[in-house]
Amino acid sequence: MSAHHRLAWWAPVLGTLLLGQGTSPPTVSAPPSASAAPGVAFADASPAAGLDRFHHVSGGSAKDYIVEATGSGVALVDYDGDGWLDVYLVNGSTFAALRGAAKPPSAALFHNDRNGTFTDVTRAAGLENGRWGQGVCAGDFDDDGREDLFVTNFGRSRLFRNRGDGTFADVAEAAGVAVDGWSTGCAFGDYDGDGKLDLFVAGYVKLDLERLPPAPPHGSVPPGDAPSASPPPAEVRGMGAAYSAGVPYCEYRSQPVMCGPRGLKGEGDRLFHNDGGGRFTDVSARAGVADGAGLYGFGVAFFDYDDDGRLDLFVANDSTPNYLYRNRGDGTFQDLSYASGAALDEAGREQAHMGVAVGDYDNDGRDDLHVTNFADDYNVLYHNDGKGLFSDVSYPAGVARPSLPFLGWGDAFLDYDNDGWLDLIVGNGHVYPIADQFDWNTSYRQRPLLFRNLAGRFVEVAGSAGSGLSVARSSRGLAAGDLDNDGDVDVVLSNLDETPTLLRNDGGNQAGHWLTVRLVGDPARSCPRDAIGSVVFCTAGGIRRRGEVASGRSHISQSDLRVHFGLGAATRVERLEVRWANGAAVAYDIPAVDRLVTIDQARGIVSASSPSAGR
Amino acid sequence: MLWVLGTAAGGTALPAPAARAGATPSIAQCTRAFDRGDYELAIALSRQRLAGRPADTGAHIVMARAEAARGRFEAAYQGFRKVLARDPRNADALYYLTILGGVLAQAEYDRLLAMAPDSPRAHQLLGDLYQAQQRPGDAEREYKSGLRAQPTSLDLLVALADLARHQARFEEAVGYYERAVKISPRHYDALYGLGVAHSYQREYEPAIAAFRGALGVDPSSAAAHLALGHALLQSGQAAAAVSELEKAAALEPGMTQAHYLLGRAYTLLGRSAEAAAVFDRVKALSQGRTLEEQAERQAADPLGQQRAPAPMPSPEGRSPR
Repeated sequence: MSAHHRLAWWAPVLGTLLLGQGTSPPTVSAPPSASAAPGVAFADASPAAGLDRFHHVSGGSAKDYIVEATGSGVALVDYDGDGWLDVYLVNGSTFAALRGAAKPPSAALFHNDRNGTFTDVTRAAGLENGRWGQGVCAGDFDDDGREDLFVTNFGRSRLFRNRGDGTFADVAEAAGVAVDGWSTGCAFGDYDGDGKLDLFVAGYVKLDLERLPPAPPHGSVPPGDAPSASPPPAEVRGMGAAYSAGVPYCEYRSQPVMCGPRGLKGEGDRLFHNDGGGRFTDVSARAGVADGAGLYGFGVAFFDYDDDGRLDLFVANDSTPNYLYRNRGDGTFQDLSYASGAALDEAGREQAHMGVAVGDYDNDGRDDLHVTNFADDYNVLYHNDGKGLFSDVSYPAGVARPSLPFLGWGDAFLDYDNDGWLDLIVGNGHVYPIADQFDWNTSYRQRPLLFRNLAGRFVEVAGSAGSGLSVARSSRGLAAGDLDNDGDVDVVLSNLDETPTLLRNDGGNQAGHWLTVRLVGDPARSCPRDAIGSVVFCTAGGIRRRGEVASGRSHISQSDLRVHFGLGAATRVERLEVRWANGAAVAYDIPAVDRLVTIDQARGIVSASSPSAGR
Repeated sequence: MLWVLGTAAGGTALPAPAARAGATPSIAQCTRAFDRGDYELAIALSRQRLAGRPADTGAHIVMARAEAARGRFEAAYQGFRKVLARDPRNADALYYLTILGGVLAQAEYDRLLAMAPDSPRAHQLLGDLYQAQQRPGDAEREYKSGLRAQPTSLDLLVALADLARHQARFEEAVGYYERAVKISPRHYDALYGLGVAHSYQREYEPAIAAFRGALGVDPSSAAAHLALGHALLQSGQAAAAVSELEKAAALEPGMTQAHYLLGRAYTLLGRSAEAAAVFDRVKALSQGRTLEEQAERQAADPLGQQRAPAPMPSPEGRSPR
């Protein structure tokens, strides 16, 4: 063997990152950037909006077990069809609640009062959940014109059917989608083109409450004093602590921490075919997406990466390779994870992936992927090169290096400054509370990262003092949408064991023109009523932008189903083309910009309202 | 850990009981003397026993431990080496030798600090210790102090370069590596590190040159072939990359990264059948074991994984300087 045998020549940037030397620490606001969009800021509007009445609960503060650390998702969805996005925040639980010894915390549905405030209507709506909640995705699975919600749990999942009167009913068992175990990300999408929304659910870890992996002893253990029942698994920087049979506890940077996910049994993934009549059939194995290897699934995205008119599937897997499944069009998927280049990073390393954002950040007409990652490793941006291939362009695109000290979760592409280029926001937070006790150049609570897109290259832009971007939390779920219908995109973050963060976009609607498109599909033409899976191309100012109606994504969260385009200085839309989920491509004449336009597949443009005028 | 060898400063020197004339002491007598701290007696009894039984490894070990306990480390070292010469797999001797190695290292370290506290080597050693403790800031301070004292120290230049590279300060790393290469144009670590730092900055031409230089020093380095293959692939030279990646995979058949990048290169070259075969190999390597093996593991440990806990590359390391 060579004297210079090194398997890991391209290990992630190892070692502790020094404060102030090339990377911004997670708790401190980055220095003001000259590249920031002038006059645009994200204000922390949570208290004023009333969202701070929700408090997330996830086990104990020490985070002895992995289920306590993965957090919950958030959905921005107009549940009552009034044209204003409401907010659904999934909640976690406690071991005492699971044993029936304590009252479980409740999820929260906040109704949008159309004046910047929200009212908690959870109980009336019947959306408490009461299980250890994980993710949420929206889809009108029964084509009744009202968005339904699927909620994943550590425990049996729920399918909340929207009754249309402000209330929901859990029909998961009757529908055949009551997934047991630990499910995380989910997404609705019509993979077989029959016009009905199917459902994909990612599985994470098989965790048995009666046989939990060892908890860490509290307090640090000096090196050499650890019991030595068996040698600890090799540490892989950029990933969590691995469990190995017989270890008294698991270690991260020589400190005892919770175990997993590496070393624990993984949960499989599920694809449910919508049979109509409120029934689904599990077709995971037949379709080839069952995840027999039990990789640790988190973020899920249906998207058409090869533009063949069929929804493909991406699953962000924690500590294992991602899945990219190409839809063959015959009800099955081809696993092209490795061949596509989207399974691993550019050097062929597995990463600890969490959330996934999909968007055409360079306006070349194809969907790209951004996937968040563990601390000491970078968030990865996969550029869609066409011909079924992706390239990891994280470093040259500017998203890698700033993300190194951060442990990323939810992410979304959004054009926050309406300049016509998709920007990127990432919610962050470490999984180990002890991160604050050591010189690891990271922290338990971390601020969000906002990257401005300068024509295909990203620059981190900081919030000024007092900005919502400078507040450090242990964030998990993240969803984007125009909550106040003012023409710019706001963001909600679900924070572990804390109140949520509402980042209200102030000034985005003044920085550039915009167009928001709401699509209504025609089930009679085999298109889902809420048009999930439809793609919109908007050409203005000579730039053709891509957007789509999408369920799920981010870290187990649901963003606005409407499609928002920033138009920059363009004052008219030259062309708006909708490729409906059933494959039909139709062009529409848009009368004016700075409008929220509703397009009904059967009737054409049915409304074009100005800011804050609702539908 | 010195207690394992005995208490160097302790050792109640009880008068040695007169051994019966002509009787060989038992190993238990030797051990008891050692255990009660009477190291001189333990040595005397062991020597007496070895006179009649020169191959008795137990007596050699007791004697060597007692020598160590009396602070006569060289004699102790020789004693353990004697045992290993007769019995290379003697776990006791290896264990005590490991402990003794640490004690000797500490003694030499103390001597170095006492003799030349501001010498480049003293700073280097301190820097290495801080590195081991994951205190990179302190390590960098020591390395820089050492470099001020000896600006041409290859070890310190490469240490600082590696530290900067691991912290994503690639330009700084390149500067240190280049200084090292200027002093020693065939320094593998400097050439290899230089290539990696350039690669991270997407400066593939200088990276390729540096990796080729490293391979000129050590053509059997799978890591350097992998790194060169990656740089070639990233710079659009897929055909050239194939050759390097094939060499890396041949040298290290379990190197997932080499196989994966080889598959990427085949794909770009339109060699789709070969790419598919390689990706199958990547999948097999990534999953770590056969389904039967997985089932066995699960049966043995209900919590346990379905795949190896750490199939990932190990952290980068420097070769010993």
